[in-house]
Amino acid sequence: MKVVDEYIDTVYQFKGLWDLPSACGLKILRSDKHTVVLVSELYRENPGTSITNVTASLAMQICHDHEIDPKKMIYIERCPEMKSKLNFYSERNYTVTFTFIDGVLNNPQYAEISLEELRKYIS
Amino acid sequence: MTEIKFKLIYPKWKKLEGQTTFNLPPHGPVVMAASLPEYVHVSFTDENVEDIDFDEPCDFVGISMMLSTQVKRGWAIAQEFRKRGKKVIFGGISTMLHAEETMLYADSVFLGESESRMEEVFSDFRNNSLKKLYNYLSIQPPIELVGPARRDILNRELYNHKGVQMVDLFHASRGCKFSCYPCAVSYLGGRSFRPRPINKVIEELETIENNRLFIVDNSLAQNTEWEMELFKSMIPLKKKWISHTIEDDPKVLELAAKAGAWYVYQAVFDTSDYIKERIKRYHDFGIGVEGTILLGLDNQSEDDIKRLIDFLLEIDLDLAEFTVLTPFPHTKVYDDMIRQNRIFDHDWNHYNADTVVYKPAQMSPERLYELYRYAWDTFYKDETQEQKMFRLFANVVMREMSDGTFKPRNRNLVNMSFGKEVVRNSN
Repeated sequence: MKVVDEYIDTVYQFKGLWDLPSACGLKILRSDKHTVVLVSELYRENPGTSITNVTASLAMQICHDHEIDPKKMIYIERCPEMKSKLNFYSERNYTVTFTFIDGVLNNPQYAEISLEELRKYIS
Repeated sequence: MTEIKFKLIYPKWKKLEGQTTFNLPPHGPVVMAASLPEYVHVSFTDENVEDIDFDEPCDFVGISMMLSTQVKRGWAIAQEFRKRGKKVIFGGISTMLHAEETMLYADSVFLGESESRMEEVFSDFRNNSLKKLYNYLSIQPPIELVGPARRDILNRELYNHKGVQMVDLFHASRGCKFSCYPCAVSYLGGRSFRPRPINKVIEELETIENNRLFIVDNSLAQNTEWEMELFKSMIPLKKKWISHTIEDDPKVLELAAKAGAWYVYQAVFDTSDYIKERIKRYHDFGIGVEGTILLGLDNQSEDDIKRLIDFLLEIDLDLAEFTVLTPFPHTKVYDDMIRQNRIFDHDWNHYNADTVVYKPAQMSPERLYELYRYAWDTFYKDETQEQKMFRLFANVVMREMSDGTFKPRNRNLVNMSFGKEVVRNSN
């Protein structure tokens, strides 16, 4: 079940929980108003922590490495379709909002969005 | 070098109501004990079968935890020892799953596999420079270093029911290449399958006096060549064993049967012919099947669950174990539930696979629990769990008698069950 997805431009290596070397799919779309950060779970190709286990820390790492202003970021977590007969590997997308205190993102809150809504964010 | 007296504890957990209770000798502590430096004298207590003596003389305390339902008890035990001025280190699977919380109750937490790491820990302890965290989660030791477990630290008589010795636990590999929805093994042991060298496996098996084993590997079906070689090498030992899934290929099953496969656990997640045929193939080779059935998946309606139970009765499973979907940390199900804000119970004592701690997709938590009870009651309506177990047990006894490995029960322990006297009904 290799993740092949049009919403992944690059594989981003990040520090997971307990510094576990971890990886996710990444697509960044910049505009004048905001930056959309699309983070995809890679399942078997992620050797470490899941993207949801360290959402806030991962968002901070991406902001730091890609010079993104966290206050102008639209952050989307994506579970790609895995073409599995088990329905819990079907596609799901979530926007994530954070509190931003003392320069650090905290307290991720998830809201599921449809594929149409996702497309609007990246069109 | 001065000896260090190390007290190793395995905390108790509440057993599930309505199910036959067995206490198996734990595996994690005996594997960890094998990696201790020579100057460490270990004294082990499994709190499931004996009480802890908090005043037993010792220098250093280790708490080994496997289940989420052990962690709160483990933390309480640590507090008792720390009150007495003892330093406490935690390790094991559920320590890794609950590491951040566990650190609040520990002098030290060890994450990862213990082989070749314990000299550092004990040397730091001796020099009064114990670290708060030993993080080896991402650096696994070479698999060749895994040696025979220290089963000598167990009090064997405590793992005995009316004179019948329980199976010994054993592992032939670590890590898992699969990322199954409810499972955390790939987080704990890495996402690549790491089989032990066959000669090392056989060397350890030869040290185990018990003829009956439970091979606890997550799945042996990850490398066909190694799996077949393993079974071939096991044939002369004449052990009888239980395991998780093995490869569903006639040539593998034939070897497994010859190597002593007694029964296997098989996840049953739908009512397909694929499952039906798989169970039949195991049976064709004389291998029993205990179905493991997870209830509460998002795609299951009430009718689906009822249909699944009818199906289990049709396919002639030897045993069935029903569990409620439980979002253990570091699993995909946990991530999904967190994102969907569906977990309403965060008490780890309730993460026993018998309690609904989340909002199911197609029914209320209460209804799911009712269906879970219905599943147990319906499957075991005509023949109880104990009766079905006895049939499997009789099967292994027959096989042992025919190959000359049968050992009669220990007559001195016929009135004991897991260290306690059996109360017999006088009627």
